[in-house]
Amino acid sequence: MPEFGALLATRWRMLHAAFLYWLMAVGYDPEIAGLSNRLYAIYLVLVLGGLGALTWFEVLGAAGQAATALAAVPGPRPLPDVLLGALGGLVGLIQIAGVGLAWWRSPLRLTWPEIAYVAGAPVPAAAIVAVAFLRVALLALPLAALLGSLAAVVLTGSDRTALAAAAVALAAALAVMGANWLAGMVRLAVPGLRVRRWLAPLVALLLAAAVAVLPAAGLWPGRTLAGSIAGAPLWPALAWLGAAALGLVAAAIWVGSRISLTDVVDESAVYARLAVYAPGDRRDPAVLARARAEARQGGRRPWLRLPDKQGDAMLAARAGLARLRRPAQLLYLVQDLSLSLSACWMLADPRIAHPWFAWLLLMVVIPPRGLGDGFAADVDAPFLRQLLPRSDLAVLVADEVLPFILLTAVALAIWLAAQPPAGSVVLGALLIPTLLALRAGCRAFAARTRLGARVQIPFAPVAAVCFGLVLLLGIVAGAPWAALVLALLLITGLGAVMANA
Amino acid sequence: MDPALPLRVAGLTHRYGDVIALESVDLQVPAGCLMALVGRNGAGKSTLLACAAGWTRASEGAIEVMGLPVDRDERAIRRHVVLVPDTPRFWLDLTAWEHLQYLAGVHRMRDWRGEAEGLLAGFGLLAHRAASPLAYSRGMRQKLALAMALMVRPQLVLLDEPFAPLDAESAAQLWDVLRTRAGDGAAVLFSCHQLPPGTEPDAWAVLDGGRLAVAGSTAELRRALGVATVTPDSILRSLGADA
Repeated sequence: MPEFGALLATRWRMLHAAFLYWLMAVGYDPEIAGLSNRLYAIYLVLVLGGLGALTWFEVLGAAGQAATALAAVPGPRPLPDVLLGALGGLVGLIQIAGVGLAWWRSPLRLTWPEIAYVAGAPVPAAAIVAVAFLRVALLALPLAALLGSLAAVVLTGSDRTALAAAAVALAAALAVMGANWLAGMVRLAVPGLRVRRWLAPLVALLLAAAVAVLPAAGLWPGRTLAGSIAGAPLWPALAWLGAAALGLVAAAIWVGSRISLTDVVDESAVYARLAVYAPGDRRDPAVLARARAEARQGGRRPWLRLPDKQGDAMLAARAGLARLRRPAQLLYLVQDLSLSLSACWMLADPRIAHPWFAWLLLMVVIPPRGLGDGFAADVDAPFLRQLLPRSDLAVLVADEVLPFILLTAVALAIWLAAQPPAGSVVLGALLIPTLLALRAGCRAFAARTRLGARVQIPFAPVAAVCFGLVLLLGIVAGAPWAALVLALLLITGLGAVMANA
Repeated sequence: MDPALPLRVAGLTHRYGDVIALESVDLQVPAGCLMALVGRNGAGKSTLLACAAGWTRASEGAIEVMGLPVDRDERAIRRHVVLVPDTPRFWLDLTAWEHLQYLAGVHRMRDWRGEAEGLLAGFGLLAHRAASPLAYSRGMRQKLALAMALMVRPQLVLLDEPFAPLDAESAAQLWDVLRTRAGDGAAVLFSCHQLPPGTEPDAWAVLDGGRLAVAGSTAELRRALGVATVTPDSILRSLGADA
């Protein structure tokens, strides 16, 4: 089937480019020819693989500690048993939400190269659905298997059933994805339903009702996963669940062969715009917001007036106005607040536990929002940036000064209200604005490298290095004041880079 | 600072990996000059403009804007040069009018409203000033980007195919605006594949395969290329078949 092969080749090129991107983010230059450069790439892959393995072992260690803590919680029934019993319902909830989402926004989304290919060749829709599903499955299923094994360790306190749980989680995830895709394909395949995306909550409610009436069928994947964690025989459950999952996937592809590709292309607008960006950038909220706004064609009329200000005050006014015109942006500041405040607590309050590695993982994994959004918008394109005759540092300060003051005030109030130890009050009060500024600096630095830099550095590695060093010094080495000084030095360093740009 | 020579390019070479986009290009655009940059697709026009604006770091050679080296004085040259790309971007949260208001405020411009209204009216956008540029057509976006660029009064205006998305009337209006700005002493370098009817730039620069094939006034090009009428089309035809 040549069309299938061509589509696979298109996807493969994108995956390859994404892989190279991450190597470039750590210093690899694919344009240099020669054996030594290839050996360097292999070296980097080994280092990154080693770091990934170390991270996984660290996570497993934390899961073991969590299991001990869960088992020690007093109650009529051991908490791990309660959670294990709730696992079926949790997977069911994920399934219901997933079907609703798939109805609202088609899971089948195409990139520009695929759209061009679809437009220029009579590709069967089934081939497109199958390739797109394969891509999503390749990314999601390993993650599901890892989460399944992690759940086994957390709920049983040992890794005895981790492998079985990973296998069942993989099959359960495939079943959940198959059902989601089936729902999405049904909407696209039935002419009367295509434009009725608003039925999504109703579809989810109907599925919830069906699960309530037939819990044995509706909660089956989750309960099978719970059984495998508890040590139930693996093979019969895995075989039945796997067969059901494959059946759902086959049904989704079969229904997908009847969809209108014009509708798929229409609904792929945002995804295709985002797919153009480098993997680190397309997760950037500023990029995401732009893609969505451009797909919407700016139909909304803005409210509030841009005040008449001069110089840096105008920069600050626009940044403030942008947040007020999209009030949801103010909610994103909660992310900065919670992450910075929790880091401050870990560093300044010796009474609490220090899950610093999990915190760092969250910091790196969650796309940054809130502080830095205004700056990212101002440096989003060279055409806009060139029209602002100020250094990056000046633009950053003007753009972020208002949310920074707001966040610092709220965080300080929470810190003082929580009655920290007397010896930590001052340290915490100093750490709060410092950590907020460091986070904004990491975000700004990453946004700046997207503009004209040879190697674009995403937020994740910048934040991992900066906050990793601060937490290692403050928590692992037990020197929080030194960590504060280091954070200030890092801010100065980032600021110096920005001041010269 | 050299206000008489807003752009000087010497020995400019730029590579994308193994691909040579520009090779040993020498070019000067004096103040008050309206220069057309002509060449086939892929000849290096956009790369030359991007290097001149400091958006792309040249692999080799020297570029000076107002006598300041682009690679060392990026911030200083930002006050003197603006490049309008073929697909400009805009701030998501601002209307067209607010884009001009924002720039006027950031640049501390007094009495800017008259100029902003004049620019928008000249490009036929005044009636649409309260709308978001994201709701504009491609041509309207290009016009707004040009208005933004001209609003900050740069000494060197770089335009990447400014006439391509414009209708004939708008193209003629843009030509008049550019001619006026050049008359005020700004240097204008624009890439193009066609010009508004009845217009002629002060000078031409012709790129062919990344090299500067010829540069000069219309009369000089007529002699050099042996053509009766100098237009982008006749220039490309005189260069011969695409390699």
